[in-house]
Amino acid sequence: MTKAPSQLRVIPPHVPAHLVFDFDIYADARVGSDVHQTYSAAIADAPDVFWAPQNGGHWMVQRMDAISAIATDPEHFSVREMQIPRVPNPPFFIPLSLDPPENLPYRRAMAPMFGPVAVKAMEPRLRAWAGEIIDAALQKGTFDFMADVAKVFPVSVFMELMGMDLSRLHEFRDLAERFFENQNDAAQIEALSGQILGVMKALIDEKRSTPDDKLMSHFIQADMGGGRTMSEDEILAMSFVLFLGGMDTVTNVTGFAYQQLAQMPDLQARLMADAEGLSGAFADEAVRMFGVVNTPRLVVKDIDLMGVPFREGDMVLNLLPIGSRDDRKFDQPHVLDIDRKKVAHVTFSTGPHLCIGHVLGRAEIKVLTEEWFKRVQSFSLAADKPRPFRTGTVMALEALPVSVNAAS
Amino acid sequence: MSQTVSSAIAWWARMRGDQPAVVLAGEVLSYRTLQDWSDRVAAMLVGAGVEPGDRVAICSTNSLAYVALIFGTIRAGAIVSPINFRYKPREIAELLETTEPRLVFAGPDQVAALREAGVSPRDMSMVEGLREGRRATAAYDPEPDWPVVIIATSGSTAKPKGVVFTNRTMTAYAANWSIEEPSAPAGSKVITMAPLNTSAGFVQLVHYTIAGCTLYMEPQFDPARALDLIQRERITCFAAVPAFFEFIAARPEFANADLSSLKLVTAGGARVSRQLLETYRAKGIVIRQIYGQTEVGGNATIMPAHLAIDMPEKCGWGGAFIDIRVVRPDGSDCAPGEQGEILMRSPGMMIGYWRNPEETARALRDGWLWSGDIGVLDENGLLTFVDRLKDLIISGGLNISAAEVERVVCEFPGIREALAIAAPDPKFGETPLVVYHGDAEVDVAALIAHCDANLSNYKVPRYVAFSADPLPRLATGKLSKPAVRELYTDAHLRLPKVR
Ligand code: HEM
Repeated sequence: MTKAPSQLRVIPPHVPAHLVFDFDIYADARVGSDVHQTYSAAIADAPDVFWAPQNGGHWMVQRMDAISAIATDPEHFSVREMQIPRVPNPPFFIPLSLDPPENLPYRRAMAPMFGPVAVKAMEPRLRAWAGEIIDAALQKGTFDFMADVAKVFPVSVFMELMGMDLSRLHEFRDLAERFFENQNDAAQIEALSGQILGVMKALIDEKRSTPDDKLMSHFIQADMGGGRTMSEDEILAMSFVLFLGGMDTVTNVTGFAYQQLAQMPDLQARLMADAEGLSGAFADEAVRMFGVVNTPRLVVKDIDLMGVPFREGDMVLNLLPIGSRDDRKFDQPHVLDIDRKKVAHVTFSTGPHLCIGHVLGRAEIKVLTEEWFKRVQSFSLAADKPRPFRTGTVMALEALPVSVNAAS
Repeated sequence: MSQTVSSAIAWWARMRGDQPAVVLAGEVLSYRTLQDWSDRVAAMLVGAGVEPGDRVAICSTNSLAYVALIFGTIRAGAIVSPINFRYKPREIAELLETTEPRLVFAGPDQVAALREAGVSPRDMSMVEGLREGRRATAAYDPEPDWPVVIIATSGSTAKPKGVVFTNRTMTAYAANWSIEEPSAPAGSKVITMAPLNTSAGFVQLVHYTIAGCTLYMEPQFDPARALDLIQRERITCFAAVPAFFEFIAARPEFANADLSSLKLVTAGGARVSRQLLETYRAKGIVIRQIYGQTEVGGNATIMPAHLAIDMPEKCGWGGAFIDIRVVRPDGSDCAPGEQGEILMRSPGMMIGYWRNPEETARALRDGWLWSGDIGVLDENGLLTFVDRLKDLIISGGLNISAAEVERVVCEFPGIREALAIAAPDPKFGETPLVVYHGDAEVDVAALIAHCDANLSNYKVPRYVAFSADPLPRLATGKLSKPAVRELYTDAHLRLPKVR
């Protein structure tokens, strides 16, 4: 659903006129289906850090160095509020809304299950799911890559990760899909969240009686310090954040990257020829170019930084996907180049809230690409079909109709 | 001029010209006078530049002039936009921003607030002055599908939404009840206690005038007066919240009162208890539970009298023109006994929310109205209302959006998070209780002053509780209202009333 453009402009007295630049993060007319390119172009002439008067008024940060400075300074820039415009009683997520040091025990509890070794061990399962899902989609010839591939794959991975009963795959997939499709409908979200938590609660009960080596059992046993284990509410809250953070993100990075790849026959041919060798590099470049999370922060203590007067109560939006295309850091930042030398980007943020799932997220895209090119000779955008998208704190591609030539 | 509100008034002016349409504080407005007066008002509006589809805002307490202005506006093809007479300038300004009225009328006590909200209203005395005069009328007829009113409702969102009815929806609503309830034919006498700016007040006025009844408008609920009025005027229809029936029954005169004139007695907003049912049954009256909401036109279903005797808390099975379903979040029908969201479909329901396609698309899907209320159907298809999904506090029959109260409270410096919940109140049924958390306690008097400045009086919290701990949350990260309700069930017994 498209949002009506925000018309009210808010410019508090401490914001100097030369830092004001109009931009509506939810409905800017300059942004199109090629979200990243058009978004970058729209704000190319804006200062490194600027004040967008729409949506209650907030700062926007588009350069990588400035983003890093803010993301690593929780003393001034808190995660306590992440809503733009600000709302009364903002939601609170564990560990996302906790500033250090409170978030540390929770991150420690998650970390072992998300390291390179643990993710490597999951790879065969990822591969099996990717293959199965792509095969099912290919039956159709022309299909919506988002609905048939990018949205379903991370749900299966999530279920694997948590140790859920995979016979309930369709039910849970359906739940997840409806959840992410109904983001604008508070009543629906409330009902669906309740159902999701119900499933998680049942899973906790199940794993208490029959533990395994998956994430939920690990949450139940994890030592939070001094022998304390997590309460059921804490476990549910963490599971919910994983649900929120682990699916929509992978879905949309993959979607945007495949929208681009669909238009690059030469790169497709290279990947087809050596999927195993090149998929890792493709995944890295996909993640750099197609970040989807813009992270908000609340200024909790006045600070002047980079010539910008941040004042208590200001909201700040770090444009991670734009920062990962900073032309001061990358040559030809808008070109998808899998031979690019690996350089740090900010798609997964940095500092105390660096994405827990970054190894897993990358692995999902790599494995999916390998399996894709085992089965697909080439593919392109289905002609004249619209590709609706969403912007805001998470950027999403809602449909990606593709035509596919299967490999013989 | 077929199937319009105005055509019905014209009909009754011809058929029952001398019958009172409205009686207010002893003053009588006959159908003939209502017809002539509202015609003159329509001509005046057209003369002042009002065109079909324009909004005419009215901010006033109930008066006969208000009634004439409503029907005059509809006759001119314009849309009535009632403004709650209790509104503060900020609330008025927010409403006017979306309705953009061509003209605004104000009662004497409302003029100042409207001025402060940035408009220069016309005085209601201008309408009063048209009560007598030469015949005049608008040169054109209204069309059935022209909108007639935008009624502000408090939903779960902090800002009110405007429900739009047309001539066709309002006449269809009245037609349904005429068919279903032969107990309220033309000439019936109806008590109404709601202000005309509320959905209940407006809908009752238009419904019962379309049906050719007489409305006794009472400025407020007074049990002794109501009891007297029912007997003296031989009232036939009476609708109220259950608490009102209890107050009436508690009067000493109740024991010997003759209530035999009452034919249609309905209660909504809370459950009819068995005890209440029996108290009135002893007087030969069956109180019938209703369910409805503004969006569906008013009432959606009334419990049939013969079933109410055994199941007073159930609300019936819809109506002659009104279908009811109870569904799961995915839209599939619930099994009997399973709770779900109540859906309704009828020709009398709203056409949508004013200038709000998103909320409209959410509420109206595939021809069904999604109520946002939780209910359950039994194996016979009888509906029981369970709870509101919408977060409302109902105080003295007026809906208060908890979110709106919370928004204003959270603006106050030092308040980190706050929830508004309903505390029981002997006079109003419910009243707002605010629980807040912050680094330290705030100055409650200053907080109430801040609320007073930004909210209508009835929305201002009556109890304020400080929580040193952050408020409980759900695992989804949202504040948990059920947990706060539980923690503060008896808080009103311990806390001082702050106003
Ligand atoms: C390629 C896909 C992904 C992207 C672009 C992404 C992006 C991000 C970003 C930018 C943050 C930091 C938020 C902030 O600083 O406010 C974050 C945090 C987080 N992500 Fe991811 N993410 C991805 C995949 C995943 C996956 C697969 C999981 C787990 C299954 C996951 C779980 C989390 C969690 C739990 C946090 C919160 C960490 C904390 O607050 O300490 N993410 N993610």
